[in-house]
Amino acid sequence: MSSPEVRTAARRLTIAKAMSEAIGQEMARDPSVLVMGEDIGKLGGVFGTTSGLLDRFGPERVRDTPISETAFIGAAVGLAAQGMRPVVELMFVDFFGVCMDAIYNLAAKQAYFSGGQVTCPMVLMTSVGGGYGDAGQHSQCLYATFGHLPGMKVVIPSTARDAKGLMLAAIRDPNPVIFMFHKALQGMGWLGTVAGSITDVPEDDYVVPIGTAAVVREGSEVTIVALGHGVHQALDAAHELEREGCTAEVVDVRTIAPLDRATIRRSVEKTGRLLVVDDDYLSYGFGAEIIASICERGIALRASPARIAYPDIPVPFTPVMEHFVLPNADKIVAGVRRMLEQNR
Amino acid sequence: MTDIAVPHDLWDDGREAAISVWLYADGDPVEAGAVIAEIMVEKTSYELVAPSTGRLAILVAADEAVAKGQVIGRVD
Amino acid sequence: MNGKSNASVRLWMYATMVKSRHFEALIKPAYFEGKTPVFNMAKGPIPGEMHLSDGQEPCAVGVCAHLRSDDSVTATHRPHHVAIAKGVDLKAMAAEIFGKRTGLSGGRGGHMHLFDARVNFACSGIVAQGLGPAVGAALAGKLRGSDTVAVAFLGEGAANQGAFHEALNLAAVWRAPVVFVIEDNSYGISVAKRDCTAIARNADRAAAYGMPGRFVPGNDPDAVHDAAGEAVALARAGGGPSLIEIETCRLEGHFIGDAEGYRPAGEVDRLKQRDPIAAFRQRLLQDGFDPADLDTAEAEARVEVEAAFVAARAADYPQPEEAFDHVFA
Repeated sequence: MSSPEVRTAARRLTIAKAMSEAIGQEMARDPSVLVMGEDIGKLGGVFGTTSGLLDRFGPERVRDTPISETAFIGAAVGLAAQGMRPVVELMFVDFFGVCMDAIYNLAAKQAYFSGGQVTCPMVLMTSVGGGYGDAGQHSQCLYATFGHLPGMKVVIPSTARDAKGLMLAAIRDPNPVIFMFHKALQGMGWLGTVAGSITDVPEDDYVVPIGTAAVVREGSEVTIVALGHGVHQALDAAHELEREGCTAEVVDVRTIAPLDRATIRRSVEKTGRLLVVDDDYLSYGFGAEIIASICERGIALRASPARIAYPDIPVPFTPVMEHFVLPNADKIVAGVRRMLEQNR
Repeated sequence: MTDIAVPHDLWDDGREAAISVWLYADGDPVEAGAVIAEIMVEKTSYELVAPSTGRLAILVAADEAVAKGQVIGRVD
Repeated sequence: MNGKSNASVRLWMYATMVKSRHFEALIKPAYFEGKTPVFNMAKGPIPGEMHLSDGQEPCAVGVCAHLRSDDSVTATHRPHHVAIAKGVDLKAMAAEIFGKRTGLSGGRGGHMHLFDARVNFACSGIVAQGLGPAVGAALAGKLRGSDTVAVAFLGEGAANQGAFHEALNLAAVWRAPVVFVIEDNSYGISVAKRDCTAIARNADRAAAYGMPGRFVPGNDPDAVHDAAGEAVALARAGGGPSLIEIETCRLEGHFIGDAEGYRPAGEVDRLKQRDPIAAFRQRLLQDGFDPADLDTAEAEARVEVEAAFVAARAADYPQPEEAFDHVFA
């Protein structure tokens, strides 16, 4: 029988509900937590991340902001320096262009520049991903962009259970944490949601430690490393591959930075094959980082490592183009098959 | 065995509604009071809770249109 | 100047507002195709977001009446009325929204990223992004010794974005022939202007940047035409930039699918009773315009819009591999 907090008929939440629950629980527990961003008050967030919080905690702690990202993210850094714990929403990760200085040059470097005197316990939650026709400025992922820059942690849950645990961990972390939530997994009725993201979520307080990847499916023929939406595509592909006698191990990184290289390496040492799924731009990307982390350790590989990634083009609007270039389960299956044909 | 019916007072007349998502699969155990589905009435989402504890039987799939009072599932 | 422009311009403004509204009226049901019974944004012939301009037509026609095709315009995520008033190719615009090969960018941009270089029109989905480019386009004209002007449209929410303040200051420092046009429809998605803007009138911010600022109440195309005429004339004469703030209204949601729970009950109905197109028609009739002329203009506008939609639906989709074209020139 499972552990006490996981009852057989546990309640199911969407990632949106899990996020707002986590933030609400932490706000109740810790009076220094506050939330701000565009449309996060009355509307509860365009993506449902803060639903119910304004009614519960009032406008001093749940603040709708002007369209002034540089100002309110900068203000969050100032609040954090004074010992508060701001949770800030950047509505679409694509908007980082207007406020990146406040993120990568300011928030991410507070602890370093001050030699540890000043910290920045701030969460910046932001939506990522496309596949629903929102075109080039509202569909990007930018995992590598954020993972690349020092001083900030970057997480991305693939399930509601991980979303709550990661959010609680993020708010409690003394460092700036970029909390990415994938639009295809969020649970908004108007977006379409991958069913696997809706999971049991314990009501109590629990944390998913930042920096820990999870083996979400065990296998011995190939390691598929993925994040966010890609995890579910990898699981679908693994299900398909099993029917052909190939057991695929799927690793959900959950944290982009700091990357849990140890878990990934252990898996590839076991399987000898590596495929990475990444819906962010290919070059200089997440896939490249995973593959480099394996190759530089001289881990024996039975086949060349591969990445199924989004190409180096802006996201096109028209669906025939967008879906042609997006990663999907079929491409993952084809990629693994190609790998199995190489016999080293 | 309890019916899961779309509440009669959920929305005004003349608007179309549909199940946007089932949070559980057919055959899953559910608890009384747990949110088990979401219904979208045009652009607004409403939560539907399980009326009793037991095993869920889904009678109307997600993305299907529903009417007020329609039985969309059962808890056995 | 009594604020009334000559008859043919006013007739053009009326016909263009009707054209614009009819375009949106055809977009809406097309957008909903495939999105019932469940509203899933990814589905149907027009996926993604859709931001309709119903109610804001006076802003577009009052300004664009003064512009030539070599004048540049940048617009926002709510671009259709401005694009139509600027003279964007209607067939190619509709095709682009439907994601077709014959679209303005072959389906790559969609509704928020409409570009028509023939008439120097561009728009963007990032708030305030179009302001800097308008300043640059204005400067280009000045450096070449022409009298072209540039116009940047923005919402009242964008006046709180850093790029706005930078662009206005730079425009004034360069004495660039640019006009900044704020379409104040009271809401930035769900947040009311009064809840996020420190002052009541964005036109007052112009003084901080050394340029004239003018507030235009009443969502009135004649009044917009008057204010824009002054600003455009000033720019063309080498007098530098101005800011115009137009009181307008958003009759639809921020995007289609917006439940608008944040708007007070009855607000939209009250606004619809003051529909600017109906009001302008009334005024034109009072001013002695022949209703037959208005009807003819209306009928022609509808025919043009309907032809654009027929052509858009009939056009082919691009080949998927064409996604890789035009990443670089």
